[in-house]
Amino acid sequence: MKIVEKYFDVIVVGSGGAGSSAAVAARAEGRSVLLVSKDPINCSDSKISEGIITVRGSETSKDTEAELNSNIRIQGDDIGNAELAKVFAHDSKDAYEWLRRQGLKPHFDKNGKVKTLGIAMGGHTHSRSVDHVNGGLDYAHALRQALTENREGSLEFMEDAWFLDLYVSESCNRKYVQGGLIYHAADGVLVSVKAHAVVLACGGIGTLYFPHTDTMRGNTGDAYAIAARAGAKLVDMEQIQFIPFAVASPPSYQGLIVGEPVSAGALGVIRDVDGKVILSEIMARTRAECAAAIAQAVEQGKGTINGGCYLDLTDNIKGESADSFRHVMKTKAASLLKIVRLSMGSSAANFEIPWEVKPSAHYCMGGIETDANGQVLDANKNPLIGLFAAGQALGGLHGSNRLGSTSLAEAIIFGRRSGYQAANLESTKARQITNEKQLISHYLALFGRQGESYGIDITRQLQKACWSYIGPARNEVGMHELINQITMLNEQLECTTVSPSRYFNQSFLDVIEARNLLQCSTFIVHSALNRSESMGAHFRTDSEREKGSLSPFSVQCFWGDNRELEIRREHRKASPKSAHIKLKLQQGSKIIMLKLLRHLPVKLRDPILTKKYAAAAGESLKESSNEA
Amino acid sequence: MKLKLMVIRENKVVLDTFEYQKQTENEKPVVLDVLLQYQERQNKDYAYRYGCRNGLCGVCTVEVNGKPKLACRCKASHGDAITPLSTLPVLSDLVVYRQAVSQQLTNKLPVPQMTDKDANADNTAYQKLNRCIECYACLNECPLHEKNAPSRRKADFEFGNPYSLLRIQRNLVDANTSENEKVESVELAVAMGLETCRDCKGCRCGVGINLKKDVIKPLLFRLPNGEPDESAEK
Repeated sequence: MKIVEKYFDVIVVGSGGAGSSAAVAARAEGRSVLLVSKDPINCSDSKISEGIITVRGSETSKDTEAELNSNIRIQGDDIGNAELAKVFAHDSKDAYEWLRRQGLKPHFDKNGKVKTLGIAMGGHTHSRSVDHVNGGLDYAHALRQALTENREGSLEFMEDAWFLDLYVSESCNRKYVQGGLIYHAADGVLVSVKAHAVVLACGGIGTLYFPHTDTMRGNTGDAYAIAARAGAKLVDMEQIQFIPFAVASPPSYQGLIVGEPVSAGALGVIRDVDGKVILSEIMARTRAECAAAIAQAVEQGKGTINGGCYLDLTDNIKGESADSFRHVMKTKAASLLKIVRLSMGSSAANFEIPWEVKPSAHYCMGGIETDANGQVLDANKNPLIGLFAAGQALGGLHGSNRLGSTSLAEAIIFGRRSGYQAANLESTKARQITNEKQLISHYLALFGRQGESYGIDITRQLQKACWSYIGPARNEVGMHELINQITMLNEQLECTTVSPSRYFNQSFLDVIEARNLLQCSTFIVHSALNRSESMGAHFRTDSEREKGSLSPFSVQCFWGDNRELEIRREHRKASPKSAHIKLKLQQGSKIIMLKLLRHLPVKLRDPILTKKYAAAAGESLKESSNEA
Repeated sequence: MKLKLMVIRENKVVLDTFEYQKQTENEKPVVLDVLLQYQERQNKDYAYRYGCRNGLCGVCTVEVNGKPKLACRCKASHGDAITPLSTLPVLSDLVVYRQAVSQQLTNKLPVPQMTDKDANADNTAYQKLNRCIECYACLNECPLHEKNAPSRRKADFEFGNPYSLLRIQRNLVDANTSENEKVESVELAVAMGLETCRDCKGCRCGVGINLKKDVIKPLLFRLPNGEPDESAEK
């Protein structure tokens, strides 16, 4: 196979919200940029998302940076990185302004002011989430526009290109990233690129749980595995967000999202297989609480045949408020209802029968540890010079639970910061010797290898085991079983067949991705074992939920000198107790209000609900800002 | 259920037969279910693309019995033949080279500079066009796209296609586009061969955008001897 050599100032890996904004930011600084994407450019989780974006202060000027910051910290149980939360709160308005300049159009009121959803999404204390007519497609078209304008600087695109590994040199105990190796499947060549900086913005790990995921197939944990191999430290890898309400059956639609806690209406409840209510007042709960309730019921043998529970919204259409409930769902949740209709039929989509749902992997809150500008850090908190991370690849912003609508803002905030920083990196001295030669010979040797199985066989076995043992419900016995399986699969991977063909070699790609998935499952299972109590998205069936631990800590991992995974805990500063109590009271009062509402006579209840739903549908925004 | 799947490697082309095993008794599988199972059971290094399984990412487009379809949304039937898109160069099996389409307008299309004018405008026409998921089904039977010289794996398309024209037309209905940018946008459409669209019976969108009414006709109307644009009169 031919090796092509290229030179750029900055390589950006991944072309969703984070990668596109990073590439544009680096180009604006006059740098030459290579944008590498294994999927077609812009075809990312950003594109397939609901397209709802956190914009601080969009509803009321009372919505301060301090408050948004505090929401993120406290909902994440204070285990996240305080510096990142601060940056998020500071930049969220700017990030949205940037998207507006690329043509993103929200709903406007008659004075030309941006409209929000009108309700505080999961975990927020203010209504500050902005939605868009075509959901994530609008966001993706804005990114496409940003990349279309390519007048100043140089920006080269390379899709169907798998970034394999980073070139790293070492001098005076410091590591320098100097480019990396790419398999360009469209050209049938290996591309060896020298660059001053690399931005990893290539998404999460949802595919580890396939088909129990609603994310893009490309989420094979590439960023985490690549960064860790180069010496980066990963944080909070046990914190995988499972959305609670996804399709349980049939197979074609399994894992696709059909609802959020807030879309359950005021009267929606979760029932087990026997019809017993296991969670009510869903609107006021987080995704993690709902997912844990379902996982627990399934664990206790109270789940459906497809391993789910029932989301029962039928009470919402029993009174006079039925029409306004239907209306708000049709205007704000049309894409979700479409999946309900396709998978469960039209009476389900009309809320006449309960929906069979189960949790589905949605977002990885853990990831690569960075500073406030996306600069990646190593095990000793020294910068891995020249390496940056943004978007889902970056870890530690959300802690144990991610607030609704934050990821699309996060992508732009840290994408722009890391792109700018990568472009303005002080140039290092003469190029050092890197691991380039070893990497090239390692990957070349794979082509034409004869073996017993294929990469896809390894991946399918791993996905099954990961869903069982490090999915929405975890325990020590199961996780040790997974570790055994990972060891076995790692050995099998060494004996897989790879065809010699140059162009879009699927067997090669499957082996590359299986290796990244295996390494990520190792990070997750060891982090999850270390956190012995349930917290946020990490739900252990063999322990009690941690009750507001006084000293929050983050679980972190990295490859040690002997290629063994090392785990460390880093203690974090807790938010003031008063802030915790305030938020708990707020959530508590929401639950009580919903409970009261549910038990109110229908005649009294209906007018209140009708008004609430009308507000949520955007008819009268003022009245709703302080309600559930 | 028996189906046929096209296998394309280097210089070899084969139509392979596969018997799909239903996963549940009443399952009505989509084409993507067939592809997944075919790879797992019969052809371990079969190359195909998919992304969201939800009709949104636009990457799993293949031809089913010669018509472009999203593999994740098209129901599979006994006897179906699944082949790669015939409108783009094939890299391997069902995977085609797409970058020449998505990058066709890079550096050429004027990007409207934000004036905030859209905040007080009706953006319905703009948002209608943003429903495009970039699945490239619209390239099918497009006489404009057919003018591009066929090549093996690579392509650099001189002539346009409905997707590129949609993005140009979107500039024309964007309240933030200046008059100058509008003129440049139309010039670009002409340079990409818009005239060819005059004699065409119309193109078909994979997600139901009315391309003829909302893209092609309004663009043709801007030509010096353009046809009357009914949608503009409304």
